[in-house]
Amino acid sequence: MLEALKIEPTHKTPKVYLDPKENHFEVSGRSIPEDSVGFYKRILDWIDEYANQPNPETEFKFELEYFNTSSSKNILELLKKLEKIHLEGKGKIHITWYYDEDDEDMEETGEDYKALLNVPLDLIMKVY
Amino acid sequence: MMIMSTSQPTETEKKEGPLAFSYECYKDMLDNNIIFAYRGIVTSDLVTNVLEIMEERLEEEGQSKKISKKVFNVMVECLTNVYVDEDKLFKEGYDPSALLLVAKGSNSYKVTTGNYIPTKGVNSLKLMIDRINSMDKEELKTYYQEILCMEEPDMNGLTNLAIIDLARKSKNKLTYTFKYENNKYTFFTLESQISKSGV
Amino acid sequence: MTYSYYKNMQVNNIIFVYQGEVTAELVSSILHMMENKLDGDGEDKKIKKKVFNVMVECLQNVYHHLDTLEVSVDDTEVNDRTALLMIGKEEKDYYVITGNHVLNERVAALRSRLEKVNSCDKNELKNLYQSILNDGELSEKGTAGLGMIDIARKSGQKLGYDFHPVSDKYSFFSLEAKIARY
Repeated sequence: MLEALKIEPTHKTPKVYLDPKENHFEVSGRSIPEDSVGFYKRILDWIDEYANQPNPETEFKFELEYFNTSSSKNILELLKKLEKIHLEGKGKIHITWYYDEDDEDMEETGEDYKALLNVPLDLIMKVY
Repeated sequence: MMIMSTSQPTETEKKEGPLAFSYECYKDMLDNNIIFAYRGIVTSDLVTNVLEIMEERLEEEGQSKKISKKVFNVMVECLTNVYVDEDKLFKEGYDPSALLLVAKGSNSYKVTTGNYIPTKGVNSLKLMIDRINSMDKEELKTYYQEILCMEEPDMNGLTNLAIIDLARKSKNKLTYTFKYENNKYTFFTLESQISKSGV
Repeated sequence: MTYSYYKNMQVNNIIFVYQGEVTAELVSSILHMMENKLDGDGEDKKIKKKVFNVMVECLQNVYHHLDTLEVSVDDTEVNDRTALLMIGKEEKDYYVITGNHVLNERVAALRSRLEKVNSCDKNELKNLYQSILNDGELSEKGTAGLGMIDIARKSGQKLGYDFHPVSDKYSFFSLEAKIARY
């Protein structure tokens, strides 16, 4: 089984926790790095590996606080890779996009992704 | 401006410089409702710090979480898109610093960035912003999704995607100025306005 | 307008300027930002610490001045509770400028205290500091005096200041502390 990818969060980059063994897939926090391509490359490469032998069911969770448009393109790439696994029937993918009840921008972003992708994606509002 | 004499006149009696400018600066910021101004290199550490400062300030003002969040989102986008070729500007004798102004009017918050851009890029940037300003909410959404799928994820600077994003998040027209310096560089300012009513 | 701000900041070597009410939380956020900024500039640890300490003390001083204004809350002629914080980096120094309203009746006392502090050399400042501290009278006045001496000691340079008359009641008091970069 593919080794887990775990990246600790910083003020500018999200927590990344991708663990096939625990069946836990999460990207959460802030994503505002100067070099978003550099940051996401590791994650995208990991997903490419994971696509070779994905779990039968993958529950992928996004819980972002802030992010910028340069990250948004990389996240779309990530989502497209997940979509591919799903569409090729290699494994079932389910994506959950969490957003703060006060953050309509993050909600809109989730809606944008939902409109662009052909993969189950649920938007869930976090209420405090 | 009134300058008091002291026993160390050479050290304190200045008619120029930041001390002499301080009252004028205060008054001007007060009159224009400017909360703060930063001039320097924009790093993601700075973005984080500026967010922290604004979080405190907005909380103190009792601003609703929804509007606060919007102000933060717009600030993040503005700041992460100030792209300045620092080394090049510096070498050519220009100030590589960017400017960030945050102001609070009676009905809105305003986030403005300013920086030098190559003069040759001015026309296309202007056309792009004008085009985005002419779009309504739905058009912006469609256009955003279209560009999101098209643009390569390694582009630097104020991309079309970022401008659309700013227009969508702020829900107001973007205001810009171009201050022509010479054939090489122009000072570009971009202002996003977030209404306190949320619309 | 934005361009003129840029130019003004450029001419005066301003990094950051804040106008508004000053709260402890806000101060800590601003300090945090400057810490990162100094780090980013690769500034010497010792200088960093000094700039930081002077900023803390200057802001403390603003608090103190604003406290003395508490009696005049009904006053609307000036926005008397807001202050200015300006931080800049010049060729040889960092500078921290604070600005706040003070009652005109306090200007003379403040000025004479500043003159006194500026007339002292390093050792005299130290003695002055210790004698005030020893007096144990940390009255409202005493604390302010101590703060100013402390700023002067930490800065290692003469304090700059300016009183700008605003009305019959108020002046705007600007205080500048410099920290040598080398």
